[in-house]
Amino acid sequence: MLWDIARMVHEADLGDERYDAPEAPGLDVLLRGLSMVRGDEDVLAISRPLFDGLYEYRARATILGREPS
Amino acid sequence: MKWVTRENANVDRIACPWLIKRFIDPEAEFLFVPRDRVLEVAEREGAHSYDAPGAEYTHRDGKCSFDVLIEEFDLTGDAALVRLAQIVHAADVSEDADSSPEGRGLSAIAHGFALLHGTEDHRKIDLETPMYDALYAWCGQQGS
Repeated sequence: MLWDIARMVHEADLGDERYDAPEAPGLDVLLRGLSMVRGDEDVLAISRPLFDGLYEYRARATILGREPS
Repeated sequence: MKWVTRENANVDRIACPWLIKRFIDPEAEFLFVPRDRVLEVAEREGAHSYDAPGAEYTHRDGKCSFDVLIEEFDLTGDAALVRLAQIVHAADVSEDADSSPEGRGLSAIAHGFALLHGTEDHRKIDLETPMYDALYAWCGQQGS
């Protein structure tokens, strides 16, 4: 699961298409937008639960063998 | 004004409160109730209903509730909001998941919050409001 998150972060950050991470563009623009409207501390505080959620999402997807809906 | 929808929200039912509070009704109060009680509670509370079968503002003609609210409240002149609506639509409407490249990420994040917080929908609004502010800010920078 952590590796799933790492792939998303890699593609959100680098966008080099090394990994298949369809969630990356959304994560990328969200974090870019956050840094436009908030300071670094706020970005961390807001994005922490967001990454907790992404981890849970990937965990559930792994258990189900498909994307949770 | 009160606004009522189904509990256990993912994308549209959290994005809509953001839109309503920022652009339509700053004093809005949001109620989340079981699916089969939305219309009854709307009637009793004199509330607007949204994103539920038979609701005042809900999916129609392939549009999600966020799209419908933007149209109904004449917000289509805001280019950033229209761009944000494309992302929300892609995240919410599974048949259109690839209509905007950012949709799958927003969908995963919104579903993640829903998995962690279940029917604590007001908590999700608190956590996700800065997220929609951020996406709106990013959208405002595109094409400028």
